[in-house]
Amino acid sequence: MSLPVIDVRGLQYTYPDGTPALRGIDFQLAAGESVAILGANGSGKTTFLLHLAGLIRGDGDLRIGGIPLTDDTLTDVRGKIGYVFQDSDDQLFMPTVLEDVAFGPLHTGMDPAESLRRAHEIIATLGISHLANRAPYHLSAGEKKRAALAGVLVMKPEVLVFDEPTTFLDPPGQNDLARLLSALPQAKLIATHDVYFARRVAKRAVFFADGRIAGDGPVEAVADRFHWRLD
Amino acid sequence: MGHSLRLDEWARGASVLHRLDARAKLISVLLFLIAVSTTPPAAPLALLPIAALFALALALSALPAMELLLRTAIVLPFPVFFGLISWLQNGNSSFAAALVARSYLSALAVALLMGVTPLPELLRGLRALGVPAVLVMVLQSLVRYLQLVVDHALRMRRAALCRDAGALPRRNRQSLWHRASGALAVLFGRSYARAEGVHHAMLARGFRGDFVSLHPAAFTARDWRFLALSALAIALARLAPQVAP
Amino acid sequence: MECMHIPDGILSVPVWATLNAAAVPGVGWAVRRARQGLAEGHVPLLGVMGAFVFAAQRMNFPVVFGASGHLLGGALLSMTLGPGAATIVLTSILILQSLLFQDGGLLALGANTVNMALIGVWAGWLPYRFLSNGNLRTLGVFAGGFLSVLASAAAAICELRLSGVPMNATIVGVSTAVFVATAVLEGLITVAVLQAVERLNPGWLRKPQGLPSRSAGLLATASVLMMIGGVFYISALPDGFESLAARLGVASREQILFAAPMADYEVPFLAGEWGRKALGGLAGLTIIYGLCLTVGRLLARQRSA
Repeated sequence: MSLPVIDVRGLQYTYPDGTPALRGIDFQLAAGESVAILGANGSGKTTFLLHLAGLIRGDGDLRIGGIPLTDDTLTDVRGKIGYVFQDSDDQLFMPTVLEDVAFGPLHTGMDPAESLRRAHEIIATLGISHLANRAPYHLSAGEKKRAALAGVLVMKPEVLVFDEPTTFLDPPGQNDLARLLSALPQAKLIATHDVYFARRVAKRAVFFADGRIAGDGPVEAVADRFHWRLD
Repeated sequence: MGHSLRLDEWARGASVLHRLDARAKLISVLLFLIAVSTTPPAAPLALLPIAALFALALALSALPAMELLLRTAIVLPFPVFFGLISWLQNGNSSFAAALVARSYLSALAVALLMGVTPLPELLRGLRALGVPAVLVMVLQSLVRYLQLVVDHALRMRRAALCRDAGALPRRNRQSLWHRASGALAVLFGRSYARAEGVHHAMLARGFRGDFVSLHPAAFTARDWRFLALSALAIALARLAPQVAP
Repeated sequence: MECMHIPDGILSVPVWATLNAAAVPGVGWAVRRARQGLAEGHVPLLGVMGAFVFAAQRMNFPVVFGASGHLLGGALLSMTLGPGAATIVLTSILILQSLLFQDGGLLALGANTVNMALIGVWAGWLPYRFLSNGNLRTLGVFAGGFLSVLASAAAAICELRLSGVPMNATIVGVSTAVFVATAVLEGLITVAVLQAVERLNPGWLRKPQGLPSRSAGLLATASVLMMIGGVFYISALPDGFESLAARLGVASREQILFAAPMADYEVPFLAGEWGRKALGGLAGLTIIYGLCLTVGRLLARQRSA
C-alpha cells in the first residue's frame, strides 16, 4: 500500500483558555480515499480539520503527502490541502467570483495571466462560467459552494477537506454537491451531520467524541454503533 | 444604502465614460474638484463654465440626469447651513451662494464618477496609482462584507421587534439601552469571528501577508486622450472668466 | 452628526491641502503601527470591522422623548483593535462614505481623516490607555468616547474658521452644546457596548502595555479638554484665529500661520489670486501624491526586509 496522504499521530490541542479540544488523535487517509467525519457539535471535528491546513498548531506528528508539517513546510502543505469552509461567505472574500478563484494561484507565485487562465478553466469545468464577473453576495448558496470549491480545486490539491458542506444547501443543492464530490478523484475528508450525505460520498467514517476518535469503520456501521440517525 | 446601490447599478452601463480606465476618470474628477475649489468665493458666476463642463460629462454618461441631481441634493444641508449663517451675519449673499454651488457641484462630480465606474474598478485604480495595498484590501473587504453585516444587524433588530410586539407601551428605557448594547456586542463578536474565518480562508489558499494585483495596468491611448482633453477643458473653463471679465 | 463630514467647496485651498498632506503620513504611520500590533496578515480583515461600524451606526439607542442616538465608534474601535487599526478602519469608512454617498468631500478627505480617524481615535485612546488598569476604568472608557467626539468637532470647527466660514458666539455656543451632548451620548454608548463586549469575551479588549500612570493620564486628558475648550472659545471671537496668530508673532494678519507654504502667496509669474491658488492646489496634490508613493515604497521595503 502506498504512503497515506494524511498521517496524524498523537495530535493534541488545548484552547488558549485551558479547555482540551483534541486528546490524542491517530488517523490515516489513503490516496483517493473518502472518509466522513461524524460527531456531536464541539467534539473537535473542525479543530481537527483546521490542524490539517496548519491554521491551528497543536502537539503531535502531522504529515501531509509525506511532508511533516512545520513552520518551514507550511506553504507546501497548504498547497496540498484544499479546504472548503463551512460558510462560503468566509471563503469568497474577493469582489468577483473570477478574482476569487484566481486568488490562490496569484498568491502562490503564479503570474496574473496564467492565474486567470486557470481560473477560467476551472470554473468552466464546474459549470459556473456565467458567474465569473458576479459578486459573491448575489449568488445562491449552491452557487457559492461551487465557487468556493473552484477556488480550492484551482490549486490542484491532493486532499479535499470539507467542513459541513451541506449547511445552507437545499435538497437539490445537496444532490448536486454529492454528485460533484463523487466525481472528483482526490482523497476527501468530509465533516458532516448528515449520515445520508456521508453515505453517498464516503465508504468509511470516523466518529469524534470528546476530542478523540471513538469509532472507525464503514459509514453504516459507525452510524449504527453511535445511534447517529434521525428517528 | 439606496443611493449607493443605484450608483452601482448605473456603473454597469456602457457609455463612452463607462469604458474609460478608472484612473483617467479619477484624476479628471480631482482636477475638476480643484478647479471648483479655487474659484474665488466672491464671484459665484465664475463657476458657470465649469458647471457647463459637468453638464457635458453628464450628457456623455447617459445616466438619468434628473435623478442624479436630486439624489445628490442630500449633501446640501451642510453648505446651506453655513451659507445662511454667513449671509445673515455679513449680508454677503455671493459668498453664501458660492459655498452652496461649490459643494453641490463637487458632490455631483463624485456621484457622476461613481455612476460610470464600478467600485471594484475604482479601487484597483487607486492601487495602481500607488495607494498602499493594505488600505485597498481593507476597502475591498469592507465593501464585500458591508451588506452581509448590515443584513445581520437588520435581522437582529427584526427579532427584537418581534419579541417586543406585545409590550410596546411603557418600555423600560434602561432595558432598551441594555438590549441595544448587548445586540451591538453580539454583532461585534460575529464580525470578529467572520474576520477570523476570512483570515483562515486566505491563509489556506496561500496568502502570506502580501497582496498581488490580478489586473495589470491597461492605460490605453484613449485614456490618455480623455485625460489630456478633460484637463485642458477644465483649465480653460476655470481660467476663462478671468481673461474675459 | 453627519455635519462632521465636511463636504468639498467649503474649506479653503490652504486648509484642505495642508490637511491632505498631514493625513497621508498619519495614516501611513497607523498602518505601520497596526502591523506591529496585529498578527501578520490580519490587517486587511479590518474591513470586516469597518462593516461592523457601518451596521452599528444603524442601531439606535433611546435617549429622551423618543429621540435616539447611535454609536460613532472611533473610541470603541481604538479600545478593541488598538488605535493604529482603528485609524485604518475609520479612514476606509471615510473614503467609502465620500465615494458612495458623497458624505464628505474628496478633497476634504484629508481634513475628515485627520479629524475623525486620527484626532478622534487618539483622543479616544488616551484616557483609556491610562485608566484601563484600575477602578477608574469605566471613567476612562466614558472619557474616551466623550473626548473622541469633542476633539473631532473642535478640529472641524477650527478648519471651518480658518477657511473663512464666519461664525459668531451664538453659533459656536449652540454647536458646542450640540457637540457636548453628542459626546456625552458617545461616552455612555461606548461604556455600555464595551462592557457587553467584555462579558462575551474579555480577550477582545486591548490591554495597554507598560506602566500606567494615572496622574499623567488625567493630566493629558485634562490638557486635551482644555485645548478643545480653547478652540471653541477662539472660534467664537471675531477674527479669533487671525488675531491669535498676530499676537503670537508668528504671522501678520495677512499671512496666517496655518496656511500651506505655497498656497496663498508669492508666485510672481502668475498674476492674480486664482493663478496662485490653482498652482498651490496642484502643488499640494503633487506633494501628497509623492508622499503616498514614498510611504508605500517605504512600507513595502520594510516588509520585504
